[in-house]
Amino acid sequence: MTANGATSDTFHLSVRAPHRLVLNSNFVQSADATWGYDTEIHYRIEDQFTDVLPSAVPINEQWTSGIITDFSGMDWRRGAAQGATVGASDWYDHIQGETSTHTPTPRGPCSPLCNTAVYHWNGEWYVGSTVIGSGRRVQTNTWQKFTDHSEHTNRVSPAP
Amino acid sequence: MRSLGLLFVTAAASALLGADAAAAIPVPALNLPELTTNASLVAAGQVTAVREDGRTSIEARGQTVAARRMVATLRLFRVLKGPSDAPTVSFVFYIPDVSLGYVGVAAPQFGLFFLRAGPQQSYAVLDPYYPFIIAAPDAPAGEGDVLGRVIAEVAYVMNSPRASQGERVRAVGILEGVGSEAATAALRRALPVLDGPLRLRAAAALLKQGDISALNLAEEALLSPQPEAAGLSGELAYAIRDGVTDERAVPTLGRLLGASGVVVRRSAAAALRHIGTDAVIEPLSKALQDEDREVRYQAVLGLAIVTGRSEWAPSIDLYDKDEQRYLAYWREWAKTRL
Repeated sequence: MTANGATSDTFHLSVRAPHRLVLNSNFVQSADATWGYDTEIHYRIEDQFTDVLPSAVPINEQWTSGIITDFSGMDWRRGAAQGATVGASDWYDHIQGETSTHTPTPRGPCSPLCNTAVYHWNGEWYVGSTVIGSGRRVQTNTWQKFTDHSEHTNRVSPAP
Repeated sequence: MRSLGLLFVTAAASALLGADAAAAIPVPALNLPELTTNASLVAAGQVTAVREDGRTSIEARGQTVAARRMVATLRLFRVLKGPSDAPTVSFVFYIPDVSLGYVGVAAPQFGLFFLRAGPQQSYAVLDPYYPFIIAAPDAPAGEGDVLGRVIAEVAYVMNSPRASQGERVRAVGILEGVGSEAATAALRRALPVLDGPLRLRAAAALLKQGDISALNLAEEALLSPQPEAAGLSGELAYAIRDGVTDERAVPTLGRLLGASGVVVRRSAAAALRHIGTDAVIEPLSKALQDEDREVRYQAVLGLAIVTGRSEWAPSIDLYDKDEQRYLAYWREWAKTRL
């Protein structure tokens, strides 16, 4: 920078931005009277220097595929993608099973967890907006639903 | 241990009654100060009845969603804010036809409810994701401002041996999220009397607030993992990483750089970087030799910050593209410095 003919020293400025999602260790699996189960998948949101973002931040999810059936004859449904303002150091994706009239019948978490896959779909996460598909894309993953729990599989963060 | 029989209230643990489609939903953060400020009525009480009061539509997250209008009757035990002359109040909440992650309300749930005033002395749930939080029927009436009394209600559950472990863990989580001095003080007071995993969770909550009074406890758990620490090392490590900036923590963090768990070492290195004084130069210089790339990255970044050489402070992506360049520079620097 030059002012009055004098050039200043060089300064490096970095604008911190959402960069990646990091899994926290506290997964929570619980039974649910309506949906069979509740799964919480906990994350933190870090910037490009691996620091957690300093405050609550809007995020959203976007589906990038339709549902792909894993269990023949299954009739489980998928809700709409959502956005929310979350705490950056620990927030969670809340995934439920299905009501008991559907096939296959959902159940509470097995111990150890069961591996009967029902269906899955692909999507991505954005930070910076609650509008679906807006903001900084930070992760792609597959939502995989099982009869007794759900998982994020094929996680790639930061998003390519 | 006997549960108090309270509803342990979280979006995850609560059923959404009668919704039509399950979803994967990022759940909004609980903001207790905001809830407390915006509520017309904050009261500990028990739901005695819930009835359906017709169908309607609601605006939620930019969508118009069909929903059932429900009316709950709440028996008041303690009123922390708002009128306190009635033994019961009624309040409205909605059950959307599509799952939005709303928390249902059903009898005989007990909790600390946050309600807004509606027409004709009626009330409605203030935040559908957090219509109430955990509370105990036998908690004493608190003193002080409303938020302080809310914190005292939650702290009572955390300290109550009659509450279930899950209820007490959730209480720690709520206090951690408040971020006020009163909440931190409640955690600090509880630390000596809690035990097992609950004590470690309280330690993590304090560390996350930058309170290093529990650092020795965390160090012991992270370096000599005990059964009670199972599953909590990540929580403790991230708490250190995000919260510790006190230079007095440097010796402990230096020892944590020798932990077997990579998340622990990364967090120790990141915390040293956040401290950013000359005292961290020696441990971070040693961390340049760590077998884990991200530990080495934290060391590079930390040394660049301490020395003010911002041109040698890469983002993680830049570092990954040319790690040897940065490592060679800082290893050479460290040789001359130490």
